[in-house]
Amino acid sequence: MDLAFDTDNAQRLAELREVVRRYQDRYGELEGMVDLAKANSALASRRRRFDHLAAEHQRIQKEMRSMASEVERIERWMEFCLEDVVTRTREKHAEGWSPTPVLGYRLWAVGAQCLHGVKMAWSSRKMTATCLSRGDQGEIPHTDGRCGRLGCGVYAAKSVDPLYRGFDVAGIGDVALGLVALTGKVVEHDSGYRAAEAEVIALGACFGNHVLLTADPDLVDAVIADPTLIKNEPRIEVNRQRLLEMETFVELEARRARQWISGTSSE
Amino acid sequence: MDIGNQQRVIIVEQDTAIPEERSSSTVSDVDVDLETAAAWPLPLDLDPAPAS
Repeated sequence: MDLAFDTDNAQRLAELREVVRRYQDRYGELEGMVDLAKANSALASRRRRFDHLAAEHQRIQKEMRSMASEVERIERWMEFCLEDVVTRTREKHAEGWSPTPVLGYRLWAVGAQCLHGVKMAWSSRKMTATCLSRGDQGEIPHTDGRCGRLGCGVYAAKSVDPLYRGFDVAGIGDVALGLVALTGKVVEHDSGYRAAEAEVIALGACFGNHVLLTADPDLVDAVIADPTLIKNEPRIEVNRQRLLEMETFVELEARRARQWISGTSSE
Repeated sequence: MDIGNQQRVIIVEQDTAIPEERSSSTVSDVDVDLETAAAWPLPLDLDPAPAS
């Protein structure tokens, strides 16, 4: 706020003072001079106080400009420090970034109602991970060990063979083998992944000796919603042959997906 | 199935622009980069502002 005295008023007062001075010269002592002296004194003290406050105001404004400048410089420095921490952390933990999904393989047990993973039933070709032991606190999948050594996330293996051996698929009977595209935060392990999001992009599924092989997203969704659709497909009587057909199909689809991804990224 | 030990995190972001190349510079690198150092007018007084 810019404060200044009214110059018109000051001019008017000066003129009146001059008249009073003339009257003093003319008539000597005048009436009402005591009140005038009081007003003079009050005015002088207010003017001194005003001048002091104006100087203080100027000093504060100067200090505020200086502080604003320092804040701006420190913020720029802080931005650099933050970026430095991010860079060092990414390098230390060899964090990767990809515009294309990571591919992995999954197994489900096939029932009449649904396809069931180790922990959860799937209701569509897409699954978003939740942490069953620690809730959805923080970034999922957790990587700080709060939910165990392996932790949360949608699991997928890097290759089919360990899945077949690890889950004794010959003993389970009706199983589905899927190629999944993993997105969001994906945690790579020695032989598999844990991901925030997964989408089935190819599916081989057997149910009562019938075998379905598809990479059609709508059909994948339909089969996951109603696995009995698999029974519309041809039968393969030998269990080993069914597993081999599914493995060959999803691996071929994985090869095709990787070719498409590499072709796209080279454009 | 045990998928083994955790190795690294990969962030998959589809339909996004490729981020700027991640610089390997660190705070200590700035000291020898005159142009960069000029952009950050050091030294800064990082002490709390004096009470008025």
